[in-house]
Amino acid sequence: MENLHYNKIAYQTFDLKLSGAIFSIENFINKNYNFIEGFLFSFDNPVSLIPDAPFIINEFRIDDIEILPKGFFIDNLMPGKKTPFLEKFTPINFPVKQGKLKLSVNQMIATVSTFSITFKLKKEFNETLFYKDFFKYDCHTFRVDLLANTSDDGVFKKSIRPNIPINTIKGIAFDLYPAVIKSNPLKNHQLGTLKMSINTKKSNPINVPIYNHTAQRIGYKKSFIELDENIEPGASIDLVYEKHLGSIASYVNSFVNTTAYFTLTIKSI
Amino acid sequence: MSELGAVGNLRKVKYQSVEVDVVNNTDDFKLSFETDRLYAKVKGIAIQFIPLSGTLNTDFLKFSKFEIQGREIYPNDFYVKHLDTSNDVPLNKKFDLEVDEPANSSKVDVTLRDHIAVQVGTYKVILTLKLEN
Repeated sequence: MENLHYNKIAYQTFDLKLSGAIFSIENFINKNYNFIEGFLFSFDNPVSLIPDAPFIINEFRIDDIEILPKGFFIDNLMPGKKTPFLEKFTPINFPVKQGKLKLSVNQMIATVSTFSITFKLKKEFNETLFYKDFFKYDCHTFRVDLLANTSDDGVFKKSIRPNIPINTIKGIAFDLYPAVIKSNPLKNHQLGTLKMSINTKKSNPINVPIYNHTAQRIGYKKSFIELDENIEPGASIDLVYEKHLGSIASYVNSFVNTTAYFTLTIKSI
Repeated sequence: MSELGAVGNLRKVKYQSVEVDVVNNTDDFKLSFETDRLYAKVKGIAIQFIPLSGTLNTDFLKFSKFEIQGREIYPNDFYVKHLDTSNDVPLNKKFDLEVDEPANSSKVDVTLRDHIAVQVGTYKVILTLKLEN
């Protein structure tokens, strides 16, 4: 009888296997539960001088449905210790069929020896909850030499088109991380402002403050700046990044190498 | 009779804490105890770490077992650090409040193991249950 009585909530943790710079796993989610309420990534941080070890998604699928796209910057979902336990999980409310899990992540700076994912599972038959808080994400990465961009006050301009069909942008996250190890990371330092124009509207660009990625991890709820912008099919998004006055000195102090990656992640429905 | 009188005056909420010292050496560390028999429900679980010696690194600490009255609460290989929060988190939010298990002298069996010890150190793990009537 004991085996027939399952918990209302269960957790399942998978430790990924490391090969080169790639952590990966293919496995099955506990068949006694039909619903993934959320998931939580976790990794150790044994080298105290390097506060972050950037990871990007290579592949994350359950039952062949994409949960996060290739290129997704995992720090956008990492909670810090200021996040209460129940808020650490990224909600997806995903109904499971076979439960086939495929996950692989790429470590940008090789400092970490373990990487895991924990799922929060339930038995759920209320179909109105299915796919609630399940968003699509679209990722764009630029590589920029920060010193080479000083002549025009460090401004760069990019124009992108979403890689997937998007109707409404619900939020964006914009991250900066160095191509090599930082020597003197700055914390909570606003490096500049991203001006974002959607649907080629010239007026009222959305201004997004950009912080150094070493800012305290704040988890899923606060990583994405909330938006509710309709976007026409095929429309482009124009980005203008303006550094704050004097911040170039911060860059030079912060990074051994001034080449940096900028990733823009669009959260949409 | 005096004990029955005490039951009538029980607080609705009680916090029951147990602790164990853990060494980063991949041994098993067990906590086995019974919940207060005067309380009906376990409604929350919280964890706290206190460094004793060496550098505190709880990144690899996992539950090998966490059961209340034979029922699994956290599975084998669940990272204990998920339950850990900083002092910026209000006390009441430090608890996993989705727990709803019978108390009344329920047997709690917990096994902790610090997998892959990188740094040698000792720390105290304090487990607190929130009990309610």
